[in-house]
Amino acid sequence: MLPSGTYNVRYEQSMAIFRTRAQWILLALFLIALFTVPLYGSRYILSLISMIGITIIAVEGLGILTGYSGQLSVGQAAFVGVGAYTSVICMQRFEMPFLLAILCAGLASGLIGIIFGLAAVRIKGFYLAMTTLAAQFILGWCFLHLRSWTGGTEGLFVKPATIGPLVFASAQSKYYLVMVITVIMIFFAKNLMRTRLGRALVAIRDNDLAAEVMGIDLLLYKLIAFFICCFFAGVAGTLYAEYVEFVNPVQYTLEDSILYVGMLIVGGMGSIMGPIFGVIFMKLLNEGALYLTPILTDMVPALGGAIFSALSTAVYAIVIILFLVFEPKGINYRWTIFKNQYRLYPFAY
Amino acid sequence: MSDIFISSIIYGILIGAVYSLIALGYVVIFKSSKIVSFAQGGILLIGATIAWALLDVVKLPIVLAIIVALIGCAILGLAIERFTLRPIMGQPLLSSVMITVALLWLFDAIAVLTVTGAGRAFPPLMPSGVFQLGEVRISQAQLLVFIIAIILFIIFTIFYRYTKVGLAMRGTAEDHEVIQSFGIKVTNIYSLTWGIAALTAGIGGILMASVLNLNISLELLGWKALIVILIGGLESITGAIIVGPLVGILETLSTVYIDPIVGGGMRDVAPFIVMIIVLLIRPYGLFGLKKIERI
Repeated sequence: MLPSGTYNVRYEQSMAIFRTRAQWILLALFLIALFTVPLYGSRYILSLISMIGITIIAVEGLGILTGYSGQLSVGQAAFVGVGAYTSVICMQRFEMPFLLAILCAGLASGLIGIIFGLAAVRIKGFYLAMTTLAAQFILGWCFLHLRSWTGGTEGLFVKPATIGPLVFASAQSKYYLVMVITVIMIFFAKNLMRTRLGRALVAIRDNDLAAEVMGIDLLLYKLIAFFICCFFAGVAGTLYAEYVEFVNPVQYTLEDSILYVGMLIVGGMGSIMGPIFGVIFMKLLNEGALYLTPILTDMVPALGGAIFSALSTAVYAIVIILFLVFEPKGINYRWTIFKNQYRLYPFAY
Repeated sequence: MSDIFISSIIYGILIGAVYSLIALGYVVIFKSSKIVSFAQGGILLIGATIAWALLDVVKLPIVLAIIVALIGCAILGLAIERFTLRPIMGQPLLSSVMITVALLWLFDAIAVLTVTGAGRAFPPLMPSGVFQLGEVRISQAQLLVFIIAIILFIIFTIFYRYTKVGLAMRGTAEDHEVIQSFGIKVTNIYSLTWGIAALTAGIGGILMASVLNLNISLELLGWKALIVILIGGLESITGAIIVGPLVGILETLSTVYIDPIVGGGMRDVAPFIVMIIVLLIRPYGLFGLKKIERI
């Protein structure tokens, strides 16, 4: 909805993502704020924001598959893992430059995603979700047992990424690397969903039979959705591997996959802002729970320190339950309502 | 060679019976609400924990302790339905599913707090003897689990086919408005569903805890049971009962015969590979209802 008194008189205006001058100014301010964080932020803040950025890429991909095209996937973490391993193998075995490796990682993830997505030809709904669960277990098994490539349980160490003369070794430089790619990927996702492809995916989500009748090739578009989703996962995986400088099977578990779906649901499905809100909310909640646990253990010392993680998990779970009970449509829905009210302010409609 | 083969098949059937038992809970919930409840694994754990606490800490007699624990499970199921799922009835189903996932995490955490990492020894409930059939040994406890699963299967089948409440539950899954016009309260049906499902999970949890002792990994049974209902079909009680032992056999056989070749871990992967193949041939599971779609 547009602010009062703003009218679209040209086609470009109605197509614009950022329509008014105020929006452009806010965007510029936000980007400036985002890219100046390393000047004053601590290491902790930098790593937190970087992790949020990396997770946003993965969840944004999942949002395209689950939120826009309605194919639930609970294997996203495995595809992130495929990306991470592929990029590391590309860079270390075949000595590819970083930018080529990140592309290879995306493509490898995407192609493996297509293999599992082929099941979507016949399988629908919750059954399909469970074939992606199978992807999670099968790929996880591959990470552990293809030792000569993945290093098995020991994992692989990763050298810092280089683009030309730039070496991304320090926390600040990694932050810039992650943020630039995150912004590009969000921009890409936003625009992709405004094309014929994006609208076809939405049509498939809303009613796949009707979509097919209207001439949308179901198989092709579902596979494209899987490819895009897993491509995002691959990019996120590459960045994750670069950031922690280490890849290991325990980084890509079923728990993470479910957490990605959780972030998407909490944020709100079928929007680009949803995953961003969801990831930020869940990551901050996680940090809060980690911060709260020592205080709780101090209050009830009888329980001892061994239950450290259990308490934070409990707090985490309770907040998610309460949140979903009170706002099952996700944060983005609230945000949209708030924005509309703000724009129409003196009037109630 | 053939002895290993036969004993792994029998062991698989007995393990699979537990999967069937737990899978029944999923099917009951899915049949009336179209929600796949991930919380089953957690309820199972909580049921076992309550039973352990009553037996080992409060020292109630065995029968009383089990009855109280099962009532506790049923109340837990009712509470889940009333306080977390009923408020968002009619909202996107995925939100409900996510709530059950969060409940799983919550119950896990509670169980970790009470059980602690190493697990607890569960007081013996069942005969510890072993039947000897030629070279093959069958533990009596596992046989008992198998028999209980079969009894529950018969009860559920009769319940859904012949009783009024059972039919009302099936109707609720089809269409809320139609069933309401017959004078049946959808909310009551939901409560009942969750009560029964939690009860089943509790039975499974207590039985398994008495065989395997109480520890956090019991929750994994919930995931195994999920594969069972997907191969069998989400709505099918028959499917759950028949496929459970098949998945059990698949696991033991792949542990015995495939693991030495590929280096371990096939136990967890093989059922998934079979699941994909089955779903590609029959997209609604072996015994699931084929959905007829119209525009």
